[in-house]
Amino acid sequence: MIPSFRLVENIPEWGALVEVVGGEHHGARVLLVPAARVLPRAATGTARLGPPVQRPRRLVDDRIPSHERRRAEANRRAEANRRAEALLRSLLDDDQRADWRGRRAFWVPTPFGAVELGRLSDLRFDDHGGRHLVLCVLPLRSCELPDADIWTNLLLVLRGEPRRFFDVANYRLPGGPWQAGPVPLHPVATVSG
Amino acid sequence: MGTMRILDQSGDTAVIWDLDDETTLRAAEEIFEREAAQAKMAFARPLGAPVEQAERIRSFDPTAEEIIWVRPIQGG
Repeated sequence: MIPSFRLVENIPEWGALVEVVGGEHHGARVLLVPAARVLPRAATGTARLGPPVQRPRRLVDDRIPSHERRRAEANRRAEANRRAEALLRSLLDDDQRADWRGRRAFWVPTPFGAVELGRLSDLRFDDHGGRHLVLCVLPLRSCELPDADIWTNLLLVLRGEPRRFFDVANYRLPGGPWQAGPVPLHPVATVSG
Repeated sequence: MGTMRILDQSGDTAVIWDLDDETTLRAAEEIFEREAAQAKMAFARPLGAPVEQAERIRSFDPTAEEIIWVRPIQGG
Protein backbone atom coordinates (compact mmCIF):
# COMPACT_ATOMS: atom_id res chain seq x y z
CA MET A 1 0.00 0.00 0.00
CA ILE A 2 1.30 3.46 -0.84
CA PRO A 3 0.97 5.66 2.21
CA SER A 4 -0.62 9.06 2.02
CA PHE A 5 -0.77 12.00 4.39
CA ARG A 6 -3.65 13.45 6.32
CA LEU A 7 -3.25 17.12 7.30
CA VAL A 8 -3.41 17.56 11.06
CA GLU A 9 -2.43 21.21 11.40
CA ASN A 10 -0.91 24.02 9.40
CA ILE A 11 1.76 25.74 11.47
CA PRO A 12 2.51 29.22 10.12
CA GLU A 13 6.18 29.77 9.25
CA TRP A 14 7.00 26.16 10.09
CA GLY A 15 5.11 23.86 7.75
CA ALA A 16 2.41 21.27 8.05
CA LEU A 17 1.88 18.62 10.65
CA VAL A 18 0.56 15.52 8.90
CA GLU A 19 -0.34 11.99 9.84
CA VAL A 20 0.82 9.03 7.77
CA VAL A 21 -2.12 6.98 6.49
CA GLY A 22 -1.39 3.39 5.49
CA GLY A 23 1.88 1.56 5.16
CA GLU A 24 4.49 0.60 7.72
CA HIS A 25 4.32 3.94 9.61
CA HIS A 26 0.56 4.28 9.64
CA GLY A 27 -0.47 6.73 12.36
CA ALA A 28 2.93 8.43 12.74
CA ARG A 29 2.92 12.22 12.74
CA VAL A 30 5.48 14.13 10.73
CA LEU A 31 6.22 17.81 10.33
CA LEU A 32 6.65 18.73 6.65
CA VAL A 33 8.89 21.76 6.36
CA PRO A 34 9.34 23.73 3.10
CA ALA A 35 12.79 23.15 1.66
CA ALA A 36 13.45 26.87 1.59
CA ARG A 37 13.20 26.91 5.31
CA VAL A 38 15.87 24.31 5.97
CA LEU A 39 18.24 24.47 2.97
CA PRO A 40 20.96 27.09 2.59
CA ARG A 41 20.05 29.99 0.31
CA ALA A 42 22.64 28.90 -2.32
CA ALA A 43 20.93 25.54 -2.72
CA THR A 44 17.52 26.95 -3.45
CA GLY A 45 18.09 30.42 -4.78
CA THR A 46 15.44 31.70 -2.44
CA ALA A 47 15.43 33.43 0.88
CA ARG A 48 14.22 31.76 3.99
CA LEU A 49 10.53 32.13 4.55
CA GLY A 50 11.10 34.23 7.63
CA PRO A 51 13.38 34.77 10.55
CA PRO A 52 13.86 31.77 12.78
CA VAL A 53 11.05 31.64 15.28
CA GLN A 54 12.20 32.23 18.83
CA ARG A 55 10.60 29.47 20.82
CA PRO A 56 9.40 30.64 24.22
CA ARG A 57 11.69 29.51 27.02
CA ARG A 58 10.10 27.32 29.63
CA LEU A 59 10.83 29.06 32.94
CA VAL A 60 8.59 26.72 34.90
CA ASP A 61 7.49 23.28 33.93
CA ASP A 62 3.94 24.17 32.90
CA ARG A 63 3.27 20.57 31.98
CA ILE A 64 2.74 20.05 35.73
CA PRO A 65 -0.55 21.60 36.87
CA SER A 66 -0.06 24.69 39.03
CA HIS A 67 -1.93 23.24 42.01
CA GLU A 68 0.49 20.29 42.04
CA ARG A 69 3.45 22.67 41.90
CA ARG A 70 2.01 24.63 44.82
CA ARG A 71 1.44 21.46 46.81
CA ALA A 72 4.99 20.25 46.12
CA GLU A 73 6.40 23.61 47.22
CA ALA A 74 4.26 23.57 50.38
CA ASN A 75 5.51 20.05 51.17
CA ARG A 76 9.11 21.14 50.60
CA ARG A 77 8.70 24.10 52.94
CA ALA A 78 7.00 21.98 55.61
CA GLU A 79 9.83 19.46 55.52
CA ALA A 80 12.45 22.24 55.67
CA ASN A 81 10.68 23.80 58.67
CA ARG A 82 10.50 20.42 60.39
CA ARG A 83 14.24 19.82 59.94
CA ALA A 84 15.14 23.34 61.06
CA GLU A 85 12.88 23.13 64.10
CA ALA A 86 14.40 19.80 65.16
CA LEU A 87 17.96 21.12 64.84
CA LEU A 88 17.19 24.27 66.84
CA ARG A 89 15.44 22.35 69.63
CA SER A 90 18.41 19.99 69.91
CA LEU A 91 20.68 22.95 70.65
CA LEU A 92 18.50 24.47 73.39
CA ASP A 93 18.62 23.65 77.08
CA ASP A 94 15.42 22.68 78.90
CA ASP A 95 14.45 26.24 79.92
CA GLN A 96 15.12 27.63 76.45
CA ARG A 97 13.19 24.80 74.84
CA ALA A 98 10.18 25.42 77.09
CA ASP A 99 10.37 29.13 76.27
CA TRP A 100 10.58 28.41 72.56
CA ARG A 101 7.63 26.06 72.75
CA GLY A 102 5.56 28.52 74.77
CA ARG A 103 6.28 31.87 73.12
CA ARG A 104 8.58 31.18 70.14
CA ALA A 105 11.47 33.11 71.73
CA PHE A 106 14.28 32.33 74.21
CA TRP A 107 17.12 34.08 76.03
CA VAL A 108 20.79 33.42 75.33
CA PRO A 109 23.45 34.37 77.91
CA THR A 110 26.64 36.01 76.57
CA PRO A 111 29.66 37.57 78.28
CA PHE A 112 28.09 40.98 77.61
CA GLY A 113 24.50 40.34 78.71
CA ALA A 114 21.49 38.33 77.55
CA VAL A 115 20.04 38.40 74.05
CA GLU A 116 16.53 37.27 73.26
CA LEU A 117 16.18 35.41 69.95
CA GLY A 118 12.83 34.79 68.25
CA ARG A 119 11.64 38.06 66.73
CA LEU A 120 13.22 39.21 63.49
CA SER A 121 14.71 42.72 63.64
CA ASP A 122 13.61 42.99 67.26
CA LEU A 123 16.20 41.21 69.40
CA ARG A 124 16.14 42.39 73.01
CA PHE A 125 19.52 42.84 74.65
CA ASP A 126 19.79 43.36 78.41
CA ASP A 127 23.40 44.15 79.28
CA HIS A 128 24.96 43.58 82.67
CA GLY A 129 24.75 47.28 83.47
CA GLY A 130 20.94 47.23 83.35
CA ARG A 131 20.76 48.86 79.92
CA HIS A 132 18.10 47.62 77.48
CA LEU A 133 18.71 47.78 73.73
CA VAL A 134 17.00 46.42 70.64
CA LEU A 135 19.27 44.72 68.08
CA CYS A 136 18.94 43.62 64.51
CA VAL A 137 21.29 40.91 63.16
CA LEU A 138 20.64 38.43 60.37
CA PRO A 139 22.52 35.64 58.60
CA LEU A 140 23.47 36.42 55.00
CA ARG A 141 20.64 35.61 52.56
CA SER A 142 18.43 34.81 55.53
CA CYS A 143 15.31 34.87 53.36
CA GLU A 144 16.42 31.48 51.97
CA LEU A 145 16.36 29.88 55.41
CA PRO A 146 13.47 28.51 57.46
CA ASP A 147 12.92 30.76 60.52
CA ALA A 148 14.26 28.19 62.98
CA ASP A 149 17.53 28.04 61.00
CA ILE A 150 17.93 31.80 61.44
CA TRP A 151 17.82 31.32 65.22
CA THR A 152 20.18 28.34 65.07
CA ASN A 153 22.58 30.51 63.08
CA LEU A 154 22.47 33.41 65.55
CA LEU A 155 22.53 31.10 68.59
CA LEU A 156 25.76 29.45 67.46
CA VAL A 157 27.41 32.76 66.59
CA LEU A 158 26.48 34.09 70.06
CA ARG A 159 28.00 30.95 71.53
CA GLY A 160 31.25 30.93 69.56
CA GLU A 161 31.79 34.47 68.30
CA PRO A 162 29.78 36.82 70.57
CA ARG A 163 32.03 39.79 69.88
CA ARG A 164 31.39 39.44 66.16
CA PHE A 165 27.63 39.38 66.80
CA PHE A 166 27.73 42.72 68.63
CA ASP A 167 30.21 44.20 66.16
CA VAL A 168 27.83 43.89 63.23
CA ALA A 169 24.52 44.46 65.04
CA ASN A 170 22.45 47.52 64.35
CA TYR A 171 20.95 48.73 67.60
CA ARG A 172 18.67 51.27 69.23
CA LEU A 173 17.26 52.22 72.56
CA PRO A 174 13.61 51.15 72.86
CA GLY A 175 11.65 53.74 70.89
CA GLY A 176 14.85 55.41 69.63
CA PRO A 177 16.44 55.61 66.19
CA TRP A 178 18.55 52.79 64.77
CA GLN A 179 22.33 53.12 64.93
CA ALA A 180 24.96 51.10 63.10
CA GLY A 181 27.13 48.70 65.11
CA PRO A 182 29.29 47.93 66.87
CA VAL A 183 27.15 47.93 69.99
CA PRO A 184 28.97 49.57 72.93
CA LEU A 185 29.64 46.74 75.38
CA HIS A 186 30.52 46.36 79.05
CA PRO A 187 31.76 42.83 79.70
CA VAL A 188 31.37 42.08 83.39
CA ALA A 189 30.51 38.39 83.48
CA THR A 190 31.86 35.14 82.16
CA VAL A 191 29.57 32.60 80.59
CA SER A 192 30.51 29.07 81.53
CA GLY A 193 30.25 26.08 79.25
CA MET B 1 30.81 8.16 61.63
CA GLY B 2 30.33 11.94 61.56
CA THR B 3 27.70 14.27 60.20
CA MET B 4 28.08 17.75 58.79
CA ARG B 5 24.94 19.91 58.60
CA ILE B 6 24.90 22.88 56.25
CA LEU B 7 22.00 25.28 56.83
CA ASP B 8 20.08 25.96 53.63
CA GLN B 9 16.58 26.27 52.22
CA SER B 10 15.91 22.59 52.85
CA GLY B 11 16.51 23.13 56.56
CA ASP B 12 19.96 21.63 56.32
CA THR B 13 21.88 19.38 54.00
CA ALA B 14 23.61 16.53 55.82
CA VAL B 15 26.99 15.17 54.76
CA ILE B 16 27.98 11.91 56.44
CA TRP B 17 31.47 10.46 56.57
CA ASP B 18 32.93 7.26 57.90
CA LEU B 19 36.36 7.24 59.57
CA ASP B 20 37.06 3.88 57.93
CA ASP B 21 36.10 5.07 54.46
CA GLU B 22 38.78 7.25 52.90
CA THR B 23 36.49 8.36 50.07
CA THR B 24 33.80 9.79 52.35
CA LEU B 25 36.46 11.31 54.57
CA ARG B 26 38.09 13.12 51.66
CA ALA B 27 34.73 14.30 50.33
CA ALA B 28 33.75 15.68 53.74
CA GLU B 29 37.07 17.50 54.04
CA GLU B 30 36.60 19.07 50.60
CA ILE B 31 33.12 20.23 51.53
CA PHE B 32 34.51 21.67 54.76
CA GLU B 33 37.07 23.68 52.80
CA ARG B 34 34.41 24.85 50.34
CA GLU B 35 32.14 26.11 53.10
CA ALA B 36 35.01 27.77 54.95
CA ALA B 37 35.95 29.62 51.76
CA GLN B 38 32.49 31.24 51.87
CA ALA B 39 33.30 32.76 55.28
CA LYS B 40 30.83 30.46 56.98
CA MET B 41 31.45 29.36 60.57
CA ALA B 42 31.70 25.75 61.71
CA PHE B 43 30.75 24.45 65.14
CA ALA B 44 31.41 20.93 66.39
CA ARG B 45 29.33 19.23 69.09
CA PRO B 46 28.75 15.75 70.44
CA LEU B 47 25.82 14.38 68.48
CA GLY B 48 22.63 16.20 69.51
CA ALA B 49 24.29 18.08 72.42
CA PRO B 50 23.07 21.54 73.52
CA VAL B 51 24.81 24.69 72.37
CA GLU B 52 26.93 24.92 75.56
CA GLN B 53 28.90 21.95 74.27
CA ALA B 54 29.37 23.35 70.77
CA GLU B 55 32.85 24.59 69.92
CA ARG B 56 33.96 26.82 67.07
CA ILE B 57 36.34 24.90 64.78
CA ARG B 58 38.45 26.23 61.93
CA SER B 59 39.72 23.03 60.37
CA PHE B 60 38.07 19.74 59.58
CA ASP B 61 38.01 17.39 62.55
CA PRO B 62 37.20 13.88 61.29
CA THR B 63 36.57 12.71 64.86
CA ALA B 64 33.81 15.28 65.40
CA GLU B 65 30.42 13.64 65.83
CA GLU B 66 28.51 16.55 64.34
CA ILE B 67 29.57 19.75 62.61
CA ILE B 68 27.06 22.55 61.97
CA TRP B 69 27.81 25.22 59.41
CA VAL B 70 26.22 28.65 59.86
CA ARG B 71 26.33 31.68 57.62
CA PRO B 72 28.18 34.94 58.16
CA ILE B 73 26.02 37.57 59.85
CA GLN B 74 25.25 41.21 59.16
CA GLY B 75 23.32 44.05 60.75
CA GLY B 76 19.71 44.01 59.64
